[in-house]
Amino acid sequence: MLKSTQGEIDKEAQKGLKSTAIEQAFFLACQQKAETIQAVELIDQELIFSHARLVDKKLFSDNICQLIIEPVSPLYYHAGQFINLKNAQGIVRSYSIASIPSKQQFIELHVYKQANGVMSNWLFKEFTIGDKIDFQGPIGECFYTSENKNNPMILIGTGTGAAPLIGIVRDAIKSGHQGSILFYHGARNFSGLYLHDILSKLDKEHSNFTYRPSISRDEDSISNLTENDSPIKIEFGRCNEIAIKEIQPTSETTLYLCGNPDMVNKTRKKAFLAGIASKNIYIDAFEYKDLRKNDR
Amino acid sequence: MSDSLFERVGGEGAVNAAVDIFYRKVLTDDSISQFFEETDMDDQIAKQKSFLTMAFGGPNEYSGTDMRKAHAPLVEKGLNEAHFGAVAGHLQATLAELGVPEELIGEVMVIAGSTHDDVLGL
Repeated sequence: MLKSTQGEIDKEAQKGLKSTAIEQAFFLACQQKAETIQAVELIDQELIFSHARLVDKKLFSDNICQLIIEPVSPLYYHAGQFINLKNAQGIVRSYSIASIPSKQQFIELHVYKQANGVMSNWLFKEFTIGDKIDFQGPIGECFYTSENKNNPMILIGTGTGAAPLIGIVRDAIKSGHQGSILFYHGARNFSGLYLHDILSKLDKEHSNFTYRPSISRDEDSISNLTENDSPIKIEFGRCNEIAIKEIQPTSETTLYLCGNPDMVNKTRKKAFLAGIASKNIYIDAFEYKDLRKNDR
Repeated sequence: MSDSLFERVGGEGAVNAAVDIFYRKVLTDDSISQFFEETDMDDQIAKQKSFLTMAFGGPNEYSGTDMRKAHAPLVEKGLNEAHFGAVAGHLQATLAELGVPEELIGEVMVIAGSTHDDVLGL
């Protein structure tokens, strides 16, 4: 597969590709006539490192923070894609993009502080406003495309899996999405529902957007909540299981799934069996591994 | 000259329509689902598409050796005649569900059946 940067892509060369791949101008080189395409690039070239600067940093909760970085040169991306950050020690980790492209060129990332996470602890403690960081990307096919504008959308995410999902929701709303948008966010306890206020507000403001929060472990963390703390009811249980029980997908429904790989893979199969078309399922499975073992 | 089997079945559109129905049937059949538990969905769907294209008489790069290699670990886990029959049954039911005429289903089943020895490592 190559990416076209100039010229016209033959229909034949994009047959069977996901709509997100088509939107990125990816095509199958073996099916493309040479005379209509003028310039191409290898998709791997997107993985070359570029630089960004930290412009803002705030805590969502004790162990989740928001980073706002500004790339030195304008970046074309879709909310929901991810970038790889590389710190001065050469440690590389992937983080999903929660923001939508705007004039400011800011990229919003959500970082969960892993117990022994070298990179996340570094980002929490050492990485300060004004610092530079290397990144590669954007990468990934888990994003919104407006060709699905009228279709129902379901998003299921655990923990900071909500980062790409809120990006996708922001993109959908900005694009004037007409179909329903159903967002299931799950965490272990109430503080893990770190977008509760933002998502509750979206729920209130947009009639086609519904926020369904749940927590799976610390039930005490929600037992004392008043109507004021949370006008939206928080369920107790695993968000993917709650979602699978509730959803009534049609063949047009698009599903976005983000979080740990086990949850993502299980839920993906269940959702497929519940009737969601395989081509309409977009996933972003977070793998907690050292990317240095892979391509650099 | 009459149209090829692939064209008469409905070409690539038929493959795309069939793949989800077929894969759902296979995944929900308890007698065979154990062979698919560990598989990656994207991977499986891509493979099912190329299998269906081949079975529909479409352009393919089918190789008996690849089929044999891919199924060898499953044969070790006990893949047998009954499982092959079950998958074939799901293919037939999928085509019937899509309204493919019976005589065309017969032709597809003959091609699918030709993979028998390679799938079961015979």
